[in-house]
Amino acid sequence: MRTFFALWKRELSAMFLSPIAYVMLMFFLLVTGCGFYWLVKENLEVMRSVQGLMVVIWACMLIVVPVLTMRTFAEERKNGTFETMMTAPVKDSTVVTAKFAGVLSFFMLMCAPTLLYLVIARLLAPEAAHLIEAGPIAAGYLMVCLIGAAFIAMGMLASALTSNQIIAAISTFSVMSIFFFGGLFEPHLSKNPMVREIGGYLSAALHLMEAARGVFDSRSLVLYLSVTVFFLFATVKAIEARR
Amino acid sequence: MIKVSNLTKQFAGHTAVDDVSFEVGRGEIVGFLGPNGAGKTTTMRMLTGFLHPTRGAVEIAGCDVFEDPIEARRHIGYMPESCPLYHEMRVDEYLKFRAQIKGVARKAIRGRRDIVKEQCGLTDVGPRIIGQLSKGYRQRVGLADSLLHDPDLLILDEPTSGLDPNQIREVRELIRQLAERHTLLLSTHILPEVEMTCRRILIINKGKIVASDSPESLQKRLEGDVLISAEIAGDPSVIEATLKSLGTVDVVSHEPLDNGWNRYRIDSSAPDIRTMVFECAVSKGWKLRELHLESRSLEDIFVAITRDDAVTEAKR
Repeated sequence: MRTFFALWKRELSAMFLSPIAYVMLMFFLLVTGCGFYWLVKENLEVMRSVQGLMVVIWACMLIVVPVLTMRTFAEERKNGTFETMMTAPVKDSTVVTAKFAGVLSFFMLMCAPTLLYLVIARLLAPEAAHLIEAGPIAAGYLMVCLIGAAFIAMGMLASALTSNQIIAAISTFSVMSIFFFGGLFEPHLSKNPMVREIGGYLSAALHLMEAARGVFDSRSLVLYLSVTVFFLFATVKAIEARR
Repeated sequence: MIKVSNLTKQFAGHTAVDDVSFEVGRGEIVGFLGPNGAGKTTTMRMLTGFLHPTRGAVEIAGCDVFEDPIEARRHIGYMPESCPLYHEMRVDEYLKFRAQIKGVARKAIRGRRDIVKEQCGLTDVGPRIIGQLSKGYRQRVGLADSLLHDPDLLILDEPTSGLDPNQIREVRELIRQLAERHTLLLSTHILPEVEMTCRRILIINKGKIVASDSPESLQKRLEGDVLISAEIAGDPSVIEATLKSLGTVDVVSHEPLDNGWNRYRIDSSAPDIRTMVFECAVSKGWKLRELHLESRSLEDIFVAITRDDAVTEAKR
């Protein structure tokens, strides 16, 4: 357990010791801030709610997650520090879970300031207060974390498979797109009802919108948890296989 | 301490390490030599459990490296080639982190860190960022890291590569000090270094161990043929012919010096024929001003063993 915390702390501090943390924070807050401002200004009722903010966060994830995860293993492999790490008396699974926890906590840290947007919106537009309530907020952010966790696990697998960060980022981006656009264009996806149904099940956007409405579906909880566990397991195996 | 049996590693298309077996006893200092691409690093990576072998087993301090990797790694301090470090961290931070993941007891971390910093001459650079240190200092940080958990066995892959002569001397001195307390396996290209520090030499070539002995006996093994150099005045063709007739002499060559002197190099399969050469010179009335046995350096041994496998096989 001690090694886990040591590795987790290093993973998190490594991000803040390099410019990547600050660049990503700036990018994320700038885009979500502008996005939310625009939605509020357009005065669409749905979009002024928690749902609106969730959509913006969701869109940012497509860029943020590949960039955050691409370095996890690829960078260490390239620098050779992977060798010092894996010859220390630590289990492969501890390394993987600690790195996962590190990236996920950074991601959560990054999302936290967006709560302020909701506070501001509530203060400035009392008539929309009924749209911004504790339940949907909690459900929405929980879903953001779940989806984030699943995507981060995917990104880590990609990073474990290559020593090239660009390749890791692009492959994560590609696989994420399936979950992303699967349901977003659900009506246009295909005439085949089966394909449309599957697309709907996999759609991160739909799950997020539902959660932000205050409807928390246990099916999506199971989906993202199992995807996370599966990809973390695959990452451990990928590291073993590359020996 | 180390017991390697039938270790083989195949990469796609070629065999990097081919059925290697050797043992290293507790307290030994072993130099691991071989030309580039001979399989040194691959072997070391398998010893530390970083690479899995295609076949074979490695035992470190009684633990199988592949069955019980965590326990085996507790006994190993390993410094990979090129000494990878987290360049954005400070020296103290890095050593603390490494001590934590190596399972040094919480209360002992500070103490151990100070000890290894002292040992490696890092006391003054604790708060410095690793990326801003010179190559020599980084190498010391890597060495300090490998010592943190006070391992029984140190495996150092080219600890002096890329250092300037002063730094090499410092690192070598440090290694010599470490050798008093740890079992050491180190690979290097710099042969005088091995000659100075190691009590046993393993030479690997094309994935196979081709020699394993102390530097002295390796030297002896090659001294089946002795090289003698003599400076004699006189007609070279006569002298050469006479020297050749001494019986055990294989080859004689000469290079002219000034004023009718020549230097003769005499290759002989007998242990030492200096007295015979001297007596021959006396009886023929030659003027002889120098006669000595040329000692073979480790370099000669290395070249002889690794250049041509067939020769090595024949000598065995």
